[in-house]
Amino acid sequence: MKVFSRALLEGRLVDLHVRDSIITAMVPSGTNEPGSADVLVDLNGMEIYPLMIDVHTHLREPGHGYKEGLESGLEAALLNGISRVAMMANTSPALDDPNIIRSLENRANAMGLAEANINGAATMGLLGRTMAPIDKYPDCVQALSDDGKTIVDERVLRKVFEEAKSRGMAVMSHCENYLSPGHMERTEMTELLKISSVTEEDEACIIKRNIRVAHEVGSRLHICHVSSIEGIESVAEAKKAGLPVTCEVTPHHLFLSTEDIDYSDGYYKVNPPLRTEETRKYLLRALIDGKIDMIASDHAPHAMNEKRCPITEASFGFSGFDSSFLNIYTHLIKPGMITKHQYNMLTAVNPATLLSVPPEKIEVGGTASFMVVKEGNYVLKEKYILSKGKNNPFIGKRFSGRIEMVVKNGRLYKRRYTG
Amino acid sequence: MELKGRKMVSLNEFTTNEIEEIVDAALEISTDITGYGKLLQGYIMGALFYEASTRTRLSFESAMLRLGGKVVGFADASTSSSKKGESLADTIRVMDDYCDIIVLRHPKEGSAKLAGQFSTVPIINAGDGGHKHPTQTLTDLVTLKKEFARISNLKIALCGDLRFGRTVHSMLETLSRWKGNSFVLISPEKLRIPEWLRSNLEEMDIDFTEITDLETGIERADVLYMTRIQKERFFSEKEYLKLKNAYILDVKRLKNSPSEMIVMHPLPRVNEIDYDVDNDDRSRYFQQAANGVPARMALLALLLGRWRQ
Repeated sequence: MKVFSRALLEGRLVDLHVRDSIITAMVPSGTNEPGSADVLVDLNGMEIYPLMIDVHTHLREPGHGYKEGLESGLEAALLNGISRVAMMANTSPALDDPNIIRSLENRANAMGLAEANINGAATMGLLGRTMAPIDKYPDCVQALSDDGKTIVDERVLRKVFEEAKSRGMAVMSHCENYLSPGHMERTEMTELLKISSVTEEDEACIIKRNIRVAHEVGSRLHICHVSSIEGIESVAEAKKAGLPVTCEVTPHHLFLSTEDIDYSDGYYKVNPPLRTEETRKYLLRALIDGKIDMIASDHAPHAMNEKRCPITEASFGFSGFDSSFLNIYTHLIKPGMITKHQYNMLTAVNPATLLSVPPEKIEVGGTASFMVVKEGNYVLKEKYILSKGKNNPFIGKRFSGRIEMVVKNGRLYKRRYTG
Repeated sequence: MELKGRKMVSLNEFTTNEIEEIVDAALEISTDITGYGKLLQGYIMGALFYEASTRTRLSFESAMLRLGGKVVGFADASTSSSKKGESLADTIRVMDDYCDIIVLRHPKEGSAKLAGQFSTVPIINAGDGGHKHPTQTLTDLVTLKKEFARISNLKIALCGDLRFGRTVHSMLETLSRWKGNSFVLISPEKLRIPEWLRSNLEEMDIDFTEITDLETGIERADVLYMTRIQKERFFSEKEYLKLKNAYILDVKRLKNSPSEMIVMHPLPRVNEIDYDVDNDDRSRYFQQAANGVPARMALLALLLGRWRQ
């Protein structure tokens, strides 16, 4: 038996007894002799949290292994408290081939790191023209997405919704006005620099259309990284009407805004773009009020020369695994903006429902999976970034704690912060 | 590769030899600008200006007319079929049959590249959003070669907003491709060149120095390339007031610079060059603007395969 002693869980010190990767007992610390333990790990009063499930990630395989990779991505995820990721299909080739999906899944599972789901392509090559062979996708595909590409043709969209509905899958929809792409949110600076830009309306109009079509078909819709006031309200309205619509928000849309952007290169370029401070606050409020169902990183690692270059040439996206929990912990949990129960719902339970997988919970009879968090001043440094993508805009930011260890299925992984 | 039939989206797609071929043709044309009135007789240039840019458009039109060709097109998107929702690709496919060469100005970056995929005739990018404007840089190269008989081994001072200034970035990237050019980058600390450009220059082993003082910066320069520092957003009001006069070129600041130095500016200027400098022998910005016509004449003639045929 393995015992994790003196873990702080919801304000109480407990000892977790673990046998064969299952929590067999949880007793107040000091009440039992931990003498019977084969392995004793003293957590010394550090807090433990359930692991997270990240429904929106880009691990870049196949095709872009220089940006990330299955192994580097799944390891970075695990050591940052993420037990499961769902990978997006915008790889090269796109994940529209059941055989490629199956082999990716097999490789991922053999690694024994974070578990992997795949959000299979909805249309061939993510081109929005013909539906992908969704009926032949393996079980690791529980959600469909042409992430980054909006399905323009409503007939195709309808077909995808119908297929998803008949197979009990969700469609994850990245909403963007395909007629007017742009590099950043429209601001005084984008106008001055004559850089093509987008507005919140460009997102909201597609969210509304997709909700309408999903409603007509009666299928399950998930809105990716919502970032507009009107978009949130459209989702809230649809929910009120009883429609099976959910949405996610990213930490960078919650904690960064156009005010943080340095326009001298493409580092802050992300899609959807960072919005105004007003919208950022609105998103935060909406999250606290329960209008948003989950937090997803939209982990989008890139090589540095794809970000440190002119805005018009830069790639979209931020590397997110290494700052996901830190942001949630520091800005939401610590100041009491959300409860630990809400944390669990937003980062694990609701995501698990979307992906039709078991949720992460710390409970007797459940798997021994949790992270150990050490409170204290912590500055995220580039050398601590585990992802291959160092394009994390939270590097240099101060946080109220850090992840010391991750336990998954009873197995202990220690973080090292040396150098 | 032959220049005939090529597209010009950015200067990066052309070797320095090819660029000099265009520059040399422009210099030859400029000595006898009215002498090429039959070169493109019977040819039509399509000028598709999806956003207004009067100077660029008129210099292209003037260039084509001087070569004896004709011009069709529109001066802003409101008078074109794009207003009815026609895609750029479709417009290009149609225009392709109406003219022999297309000049495209579009507010979206990447438009010229996209258009190039749909046209069979040469396309010239006359500016795509905040991206590329190759004929502007080409004009500057013509000016340099006219003045110095070379584009290499020059000491070039660039002054102004070097952090966000697209023209300056293009100049630096392009001029770095010729041997022996060195640069003095004059700007306030906060408006120095962006990191990506600095690391590009370092990687190419380019000789450059960054300083804040305009007068010191031009003590030994062959060229001073002035650009504007825009007030908006770059500084606090206090900082702006403190700095605004430091980067204005006037006769006094020019006093200690070499007499054979030239002063360039992409125009339009606001107040960064004092009007008194116009009368100084070193000012070249109006000649620079004038060079836009022979530069574009040379480009049109070469891409259409009519130069020295």
